[in-house]
Amino acid sequence: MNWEQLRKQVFGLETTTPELKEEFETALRQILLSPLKPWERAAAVALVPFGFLLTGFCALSLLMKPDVFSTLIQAQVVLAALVGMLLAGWALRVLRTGRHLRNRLLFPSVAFGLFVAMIVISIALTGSVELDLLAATMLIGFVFVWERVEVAELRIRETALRQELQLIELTDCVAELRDEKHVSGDLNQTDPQCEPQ
Amino acid sequence: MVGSRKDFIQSELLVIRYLRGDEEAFEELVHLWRQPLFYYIRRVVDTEQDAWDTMQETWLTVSQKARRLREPAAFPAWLYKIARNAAIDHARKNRAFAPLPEEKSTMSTRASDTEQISLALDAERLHWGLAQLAPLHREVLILHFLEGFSLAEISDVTRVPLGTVKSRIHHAKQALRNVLEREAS
Repeated sequence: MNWEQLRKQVFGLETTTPELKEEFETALRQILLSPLKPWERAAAVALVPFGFLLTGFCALSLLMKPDVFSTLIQAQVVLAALVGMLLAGWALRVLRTGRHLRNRLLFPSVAFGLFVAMIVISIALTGSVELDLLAATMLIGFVFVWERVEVAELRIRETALRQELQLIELTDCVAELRDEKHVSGDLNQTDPQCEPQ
Repeated sequence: MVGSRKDFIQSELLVIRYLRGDEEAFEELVHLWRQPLFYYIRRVVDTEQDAWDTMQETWLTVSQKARRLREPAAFPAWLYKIARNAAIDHARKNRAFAPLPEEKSTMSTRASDTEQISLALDAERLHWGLAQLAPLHREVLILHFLEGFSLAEISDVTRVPLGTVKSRIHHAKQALRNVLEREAS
């Protein structure tokens, strides 16, 4: 018996009570279904009316007194309304699913996109851009790029691991095949099971 | 079940998938680690109920803190560190995790130790022998020989210096050998 088999047998000797195991499985499903902490749920609940209020306020401002604002401000108010809708939509989805949106690029992408849009609008309407806006965009852009780099690193690592895993599986397969052929005496036969996938 | 290099790669792949936002990877991760983690926890706490409670607390903590994990390859040691902390909380209530006197020896542990220990061993004897050991001895043997952790990882999980881990493994092996020899005679 090799060590690997021994180890598996030892783990297999652990006896468990089916009822307790079932309790654990149920608790685990709860963990998987609702990992939101109470304060996260409260924050999401608060964000829904905030997002709608922001959108409503911006829309009303534009509709009621369109002449008060310059074109640039109007464009920025439209963007703010859009942000309000996005926030409310995001919070509603979090509350509906009971879990975080785990796409780590979502927030940096949206924030970066909004700030770039503000710069584009600013340049298109006034021919210039304020330094504060430019600095904020660069800062958010840095966070966005940082997140993208981290995700890219994870992808590279994943690819390398998949290749290593494939190599190990091929090696195991070839070793098994060699053992079988030594037993049967047929060393020239090829086996499609060891083809890389 | 985790233990070989292949298992550790599969575990790391699942962690990467989870960090990238794939929720299903978490469930697969729980399934992959369930048996070895439960075996380890069960050896630290007194009752099966405590072991399942500890498992639950462990995975809850993992689900809440996984985003802080910067290095997916370090997941196994991180997981066992969380499990150990939760298990010790349970064990402390029953005073099952009393510290051992400090070992002075700093013997090195080599890869061939696995073969030395496995000599004339079968699963049931090993399982029984481990149950006879002091908790800290049992813990390092399980982590090193059954769970496949390196000495550095054990040092990380148990929060003791590397030299202490080496010496503890050395003493634990001796203790296990004595127990099994006594039982055989």
